[in-house]
Amino acid sequence: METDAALVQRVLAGETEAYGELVRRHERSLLAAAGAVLGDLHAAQDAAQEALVIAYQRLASLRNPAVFGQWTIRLAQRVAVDMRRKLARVRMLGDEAETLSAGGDPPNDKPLDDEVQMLFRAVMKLPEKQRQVVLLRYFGGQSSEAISTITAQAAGTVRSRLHRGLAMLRKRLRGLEP
Amino acid sequence: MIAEDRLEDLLGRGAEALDAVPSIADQVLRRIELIRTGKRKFAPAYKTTLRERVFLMSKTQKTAAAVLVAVALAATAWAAEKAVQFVLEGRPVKIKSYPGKVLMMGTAADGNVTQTKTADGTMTMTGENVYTGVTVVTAGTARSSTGPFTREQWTELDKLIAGKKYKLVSKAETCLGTEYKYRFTFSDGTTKDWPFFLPLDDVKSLADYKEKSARYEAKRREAMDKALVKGDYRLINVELILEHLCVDVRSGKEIRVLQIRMPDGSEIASARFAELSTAPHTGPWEETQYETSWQEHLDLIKAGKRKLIDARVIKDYWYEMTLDDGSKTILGIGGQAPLGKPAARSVPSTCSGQASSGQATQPATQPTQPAAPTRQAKLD
Repeated sequence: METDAALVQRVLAGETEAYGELVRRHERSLLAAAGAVLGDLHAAQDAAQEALVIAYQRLASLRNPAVFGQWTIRLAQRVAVDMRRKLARVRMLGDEAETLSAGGDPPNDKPLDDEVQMLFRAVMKLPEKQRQVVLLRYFGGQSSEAISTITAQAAGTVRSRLHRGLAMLRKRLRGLEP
Repeated sequence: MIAEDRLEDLLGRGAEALDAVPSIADQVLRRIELIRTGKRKFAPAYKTTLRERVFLMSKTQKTAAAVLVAVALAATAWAAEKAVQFVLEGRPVKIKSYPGKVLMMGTAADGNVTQTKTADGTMTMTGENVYTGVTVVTAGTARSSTGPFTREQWTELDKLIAGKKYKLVSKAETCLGTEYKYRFTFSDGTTKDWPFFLPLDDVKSLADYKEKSARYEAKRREAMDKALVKGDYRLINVELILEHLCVDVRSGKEIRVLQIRMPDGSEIASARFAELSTAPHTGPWEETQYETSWQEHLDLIKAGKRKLIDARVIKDYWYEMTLDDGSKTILGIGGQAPLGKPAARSVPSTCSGQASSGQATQPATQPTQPAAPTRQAKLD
């Protein structure tokens, strides 16, 4: 497994396939980031895709390739906020539920469960270092060792960041106590 | 603090929700390949309709669009006069536009100017010409290359509609009417969602859609005009947006920075070079917008990299209009002054006559409603 930085270098050298690997690594994190803002995974998919295309176009301007994951998350958040603003301003206020209940076909959007959205938001509020490892571990399905390679950090550092991140999450989500 | 197992459960649910979403890697790579090979310029996956983009323009952009309207009005004074005569059945009217304000309501594909007498006795212009102005700039030369559909896909889209090979994925109320989003799967394997303003059940082709939507739009515009004339609208929200007018010290260019509140309570500074915002937006948004946190923007000012010149608060007025059939729609006006307060005096009888002759917008709950023209009408 290669580090993000190495993959970024390969992409910059012209290997587009390496970008596919970066996308697969981080797409779940981006989905969570955009989902936290948009509350809908279908729209979040669009935002994540958008962010990744923008990231590709701006890759050469990324001064530290090792922070590719964090950088794309910020891009996804910005795209999602932009989308949210646009959608919010054109949506009929308050009448959507009425429209949907009045016999129209049920939409296939993927609205997020409230608790899951709260979780995503809480994760996004974590400090960047903790956030990245939590996202990669729990949503990206990466092992601590893999995260250590991806982020070029010592395994012990990853584990401690994960531990701290989870502790902060437990605090921030206290409102969800049953 | 929540229990550890509760957090594990939540994280599991979050992961499950994300697992249900198919990978976007192939789509991203396909788009990148098209961009690399020059077959397609950068085209955002999420694209607002042309009319939505106009509707969402910044104050400056709207002002620029209003200038376009004024130019168009001056150039077509005779036609405009005829439009007024048509709308008000020959009654002489005094035209008064609101400085810097453009009403964005309904839609029109062909740039017809509609001037309407509001309840306070003043005249106002609806935004059809604004759309035309933007259409010329954005879609006039490179529709097929910058649009999200390729030319082949447009042809195939026609066939998919005729063969009823699509799936309704969402339905939402917008200020432009009920928006039905359909999903199409093309022979090259790509899937695209596309919004329409009427159900496609009774639509045979894109041309058929265009015709039906034009009819619907005419009726809808008429209904909104009448509601405006009758004063059947009420202010439901005023949004305040802080804007810093700055100068980028290094380049000497003017920057306008909007303060945008995020859902988590943080604030973003959306900076835009002034010269880019004076014309209707045509390119990808990220090329003209530079977003940082508001604090970072303030830090740039403190560090002397941006010079703060002035600040102002922009107001966006949101009205709920009640149409003849009792349905409601939203009208947004970006500008410094609200519409005049509806007067108690009676509406001109000629307008009442129009109200009875026109079929107003049908409620969004009726699935067989006609449609407003959408970007299909402009792009096909």
